[in-house]
Amino acid sequence: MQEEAFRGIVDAYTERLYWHVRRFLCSHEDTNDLLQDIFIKIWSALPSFRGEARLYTWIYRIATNEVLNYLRRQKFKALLSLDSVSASLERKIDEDAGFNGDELQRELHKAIRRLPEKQRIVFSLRYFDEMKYEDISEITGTSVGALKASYHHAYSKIKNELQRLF
Amino acid sequence: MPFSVPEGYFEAFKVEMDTFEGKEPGLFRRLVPYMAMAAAFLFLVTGGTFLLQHTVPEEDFTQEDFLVFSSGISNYEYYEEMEHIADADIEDEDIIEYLIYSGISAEEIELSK
Repeated sequence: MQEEAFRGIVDAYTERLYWHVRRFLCSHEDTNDLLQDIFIKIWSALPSFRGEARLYTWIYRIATNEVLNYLRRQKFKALLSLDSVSASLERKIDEDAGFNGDELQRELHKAIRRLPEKQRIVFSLRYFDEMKYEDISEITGTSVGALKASYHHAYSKIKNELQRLF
Repeated sequence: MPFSVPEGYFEAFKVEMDTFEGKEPGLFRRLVPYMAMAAAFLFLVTGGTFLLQHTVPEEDFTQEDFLVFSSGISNYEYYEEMEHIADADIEDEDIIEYLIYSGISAEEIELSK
């Protein structure tokens, strides 16, 4: 029963979660490692899923928490290496052989990486995954009003940065 | 998305997820946090013991050392005085004579024996 449900989740969510994670991590290798961890978490937590939240927001919540934990670990490592996480992530975009977008897309992704954590999550889920604020609210545990304000700030910052460059 | 993935990655990933052993992290991976805690504990105990052994002086001084230290006289003076007393060859009569000379009656000396 659990195996069947898990197989269904893997089939339905692998690609969506991959892109959700990759937008934060840039590198395919890091994304692959974290995606495995996310599915292991989902497998372990599956028996405790009671259906209070919708499956899709529950899964995204697990994935987003894993991404945040990963970024915090990176931040801690960056403290030791005196290199900022956003600078290292921006560099990864430049060095990523798998990046096949144009210059505007490159700068868009760099600008997203410069956003504060919460704004980055809201922007990513809203802009790329086209999620409703109510769903993002379930995933992040933040009120809809606060999410709208965060998205507005993020959108303005990115727009200004891109206007300055192009 | 302006990122590419290796050819056939998603299919391979799904197969991997389908077959990975027990769908739980391996024993080693589960034990890593506990091993880290044990290593930290061992490090604290070993480091603490090492520090205590190398920073706190051993209490191997004698009672004589303590007397010399607390009286403020030098070691040389102390041992010279001790030798003088030992060489003095004082008899009981000398002590009684000294006590009588100090104003203590013969009866009191007799009572204290």
